[in-house]
Amino acid sequence: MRPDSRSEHATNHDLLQRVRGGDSAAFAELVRRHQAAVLSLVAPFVHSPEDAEDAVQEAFVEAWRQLDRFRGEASFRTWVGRIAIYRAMTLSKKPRPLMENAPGWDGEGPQLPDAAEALAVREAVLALPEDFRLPVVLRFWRDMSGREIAELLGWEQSTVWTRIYRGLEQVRQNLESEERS
Amino acid sequence: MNCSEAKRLMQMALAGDASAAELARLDAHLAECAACARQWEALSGAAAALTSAQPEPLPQGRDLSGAVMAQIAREANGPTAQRSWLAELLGSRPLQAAGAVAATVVCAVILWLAAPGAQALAMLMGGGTSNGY
Repeated sequence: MRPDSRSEHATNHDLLQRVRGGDSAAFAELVRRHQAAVLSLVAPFVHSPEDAEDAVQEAFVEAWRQLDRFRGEASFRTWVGRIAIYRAMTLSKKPRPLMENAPGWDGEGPQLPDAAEALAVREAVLALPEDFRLPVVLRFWRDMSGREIAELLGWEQSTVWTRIYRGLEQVRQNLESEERS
Repeated sequence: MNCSEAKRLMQMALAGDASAAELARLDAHLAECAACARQWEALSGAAAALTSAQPEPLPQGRDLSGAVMAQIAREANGPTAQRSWLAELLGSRPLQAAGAVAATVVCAVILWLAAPGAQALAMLMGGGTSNGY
């Protein structure tokens, strides 16, 4: 769907009002405007770029279905991001090999020491329970603050703090046990 | 400050939510408490390792707006919409709908029995073959 010149400079609020009035081109503009940010949010939680795109696409479709429930307490991007992350977590439960894109990893020959360490750290993160993995990844791989994570996930801020702390403890334990083995 | 309060400040600091004053209070406690200082060193080290190990970002791929709007259009015109139509029919006129369904089933059975293959099968099931066994 080609961009609508009337939509490109409209605010999110204006676009949402037009969508509620039946203007589907306005919704397409919302997708174009926010898809990159939502894709960046879900990427660490899935096994492939295709799963990331699936999660983003399904999140926007779900947002269309549930638009009547969106009251604007959070931003539209935050709301869609939340849907997409939970969709990504579901997709990540499908059995797939890990996406090995560590710097220096080319799949052949001996791994560089830094690449092997990075892979071990990522595996330790991916082994975390979902409630810890979500805030840990968003904090340290997307540089979001605890307040921003709380708003995105709909959690209490103190819950985010506790889960980041416990997630880091568990990552440290996972890495130490890996070193000993 | 006791260690329990210090742990709370560590949580806030690791989440990036501690103010400068709160960080200063945490630093003061860590200078006096070896156990908390070890814990902070371990967890801040883990945080740094995590940050260094983040995966390469995905390339910004194709525009998904077309695929999203196409899926929305399919849902508006496809099986979901048809089920919605059926649900609406059953909900508004249940007796008439049930009668229509029953009549359809009866017609289907009659047509099936009228077919030659179906008649042979019905004879076999009715008991006995053509040679009398």
